[in-house]
Amino acid sequence: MPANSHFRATPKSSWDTWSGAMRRWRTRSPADTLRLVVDLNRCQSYGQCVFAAPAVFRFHGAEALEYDYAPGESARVQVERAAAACPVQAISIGTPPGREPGGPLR
Amino acid sequence: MTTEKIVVVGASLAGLRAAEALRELGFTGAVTLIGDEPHHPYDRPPLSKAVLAGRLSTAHTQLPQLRRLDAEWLLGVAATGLDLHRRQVALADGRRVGFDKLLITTGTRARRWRDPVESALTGVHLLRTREDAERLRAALTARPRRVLVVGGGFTGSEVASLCRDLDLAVTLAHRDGAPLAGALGAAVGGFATGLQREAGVDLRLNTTVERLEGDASGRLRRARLSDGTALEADVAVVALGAVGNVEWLAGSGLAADGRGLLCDARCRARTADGGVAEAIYAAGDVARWPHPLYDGRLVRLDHWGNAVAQARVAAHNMLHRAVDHREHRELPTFWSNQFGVNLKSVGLTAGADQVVINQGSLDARKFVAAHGRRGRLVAAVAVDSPRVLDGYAALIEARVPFPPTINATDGPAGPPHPVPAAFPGGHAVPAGGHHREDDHDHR
Ligand SMILES: Cc1cc2nc3c(=O)[nH]c(=O)nc-3n(C[C@H](O)[C@H](O)[C@H](O)COP(=O)(O)OP(=O)(O)OC[C@H]3O[C@@H](n4cnc5c(N)ncnc54)[C@H](O)[C@@H]3O)c2cc1C
Ligand code: SF4
Repeated sequence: MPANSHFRATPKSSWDTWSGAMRRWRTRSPADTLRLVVDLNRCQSYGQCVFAAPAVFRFHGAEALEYDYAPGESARVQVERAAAACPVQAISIGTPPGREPGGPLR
Repeated sequence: MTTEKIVVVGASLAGLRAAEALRELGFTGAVTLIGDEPHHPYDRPPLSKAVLAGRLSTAHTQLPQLRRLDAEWLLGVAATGLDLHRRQVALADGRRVGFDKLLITTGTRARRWRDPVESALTGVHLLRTREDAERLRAALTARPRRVLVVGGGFTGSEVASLCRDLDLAVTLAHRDGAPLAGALGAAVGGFATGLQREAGVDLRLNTTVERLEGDASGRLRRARLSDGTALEADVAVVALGAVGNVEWLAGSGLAADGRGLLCDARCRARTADGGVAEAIYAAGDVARWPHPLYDGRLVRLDHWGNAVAQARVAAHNMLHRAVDHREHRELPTFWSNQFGVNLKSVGLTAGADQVVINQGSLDARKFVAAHGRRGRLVAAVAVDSPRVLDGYAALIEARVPFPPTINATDGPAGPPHPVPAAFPGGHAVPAGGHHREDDHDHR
């Protein structure tokens, strides 16, 4: 299976597929240094992030955004695309706390 | 005095964001973060939502660190004392950590069920930490015959919502006349009542839980409610608000009690004798301070956005002289997701004396409830209308008259009809001068 096949494979409406994709990522990612957070006060539920990274961001209900804070390294490109697409800049990307960007685990 | 070492006690959202802000502002000295949880910072809001629903594991709630910190992390060890004079924090393992400046971000914890024996019954849960969420998730996965939720604030309501999503029978007992009414007033509370009943929650209003009863093996079996019912339940979730984590400050001379740590608007801790502790700051759920935008009413805001904003102000002030200090005066904001709707609010709803549905309608389940106090707009609650709040925030900052005029297509057709906001326990707010107790304790 190509590494990113689940991006195409994940239908917008299926939570099962979403968590399935997350499980695959979890076991797969070698360097797990991607963490993200969404400021849900700022988020206006436009959904651009869901289009950019459907396996990381989801709507539960009409306006309630949910997301994976640690989707694994293989999601980085999509997550960066989502952060750039967010019209209110609500998505922040960083590293696991205690691990310096680019640095060793302290 | 130069600041060479800053210690942050409480390694969660506020502590992490404050440490980042210190570096962003150019602080090059030592930063130590002390946290009693064994984990690096994670986010709590999903615990009562995606995590409880089984859509996200707790390992996937870790918060990002947003810049280089070069910090020392002391995790899994609690601070047990503070010596203001020596500028030292005492740790549970006997160590003492010295500081030039201290930031207190120890947050709150879930208030326990009042009876320790009943509280210890298997099946009685709290929800604040990762471990709490994992335990409760496991209990729900075992498909209890009925879940009792004690308290209809945000956490209790979100848990009840989750139980219905999982098709579990759930009773929610709430001492007020409507869920969420303490935070959002009777109008939005009435709407929440409708949502819960429609979703199949057995909602008992104006009802308290008197006893939790177990069987011989120490398992919860039933609860006695003030309405006389003996309710069979094998899981109870106690969601009765939050208590400040301030025990470790006992004897330090700081003005702390279960309501939190008293601060001034510049995030400086207050001392019990009415002064200000110069080198000690606080931010996040633990802090209680006079909010400048609300006539200096003492508030404690158990909300994510407040922890982030207050952490930044505290960090700024820790690195600047008093004349360059900022006040923490950001408008409170929060969100909640429950029963399929997204709730967002801006401003302080508590203390409002009037409310009007300013956009949309309750029937359409899409509306904005504007709250007024003494003729001014003070807050807005938006249901499934996440895009309108920035506009209301600007109006609140501008202190526009209530009811506000909005040129929106979904605005009221005729003149608006404000009704009394009717907060439980009355809403009379004393005119200026003295502080009203108002610790937004609605989790
Ligand atoms: C289940 C749940 C759902 C929520 N949902 C929402 C939501 O939808 N929207 C919203 O706006 N907000 C929500 N919140 C509130 C939000 O999570 C808090 O406002 C936020 O966590 C506050 O961050 P904090 O850092 O101030 O405090 P905390 O996150 O409480 O962190 C304090 C830390 O200090 C530690 N500590 C305490 N005492 C000591 C000691 N003596 N020594 C060392 N460490 C200590 C604690 O263990 C903890 O790790 C929710 C909270 C919970 C619990
Ligand atoms: S793109 Fe931004 S505003 Fe839109 S749903 Fe995602 S986080 Fe929210």
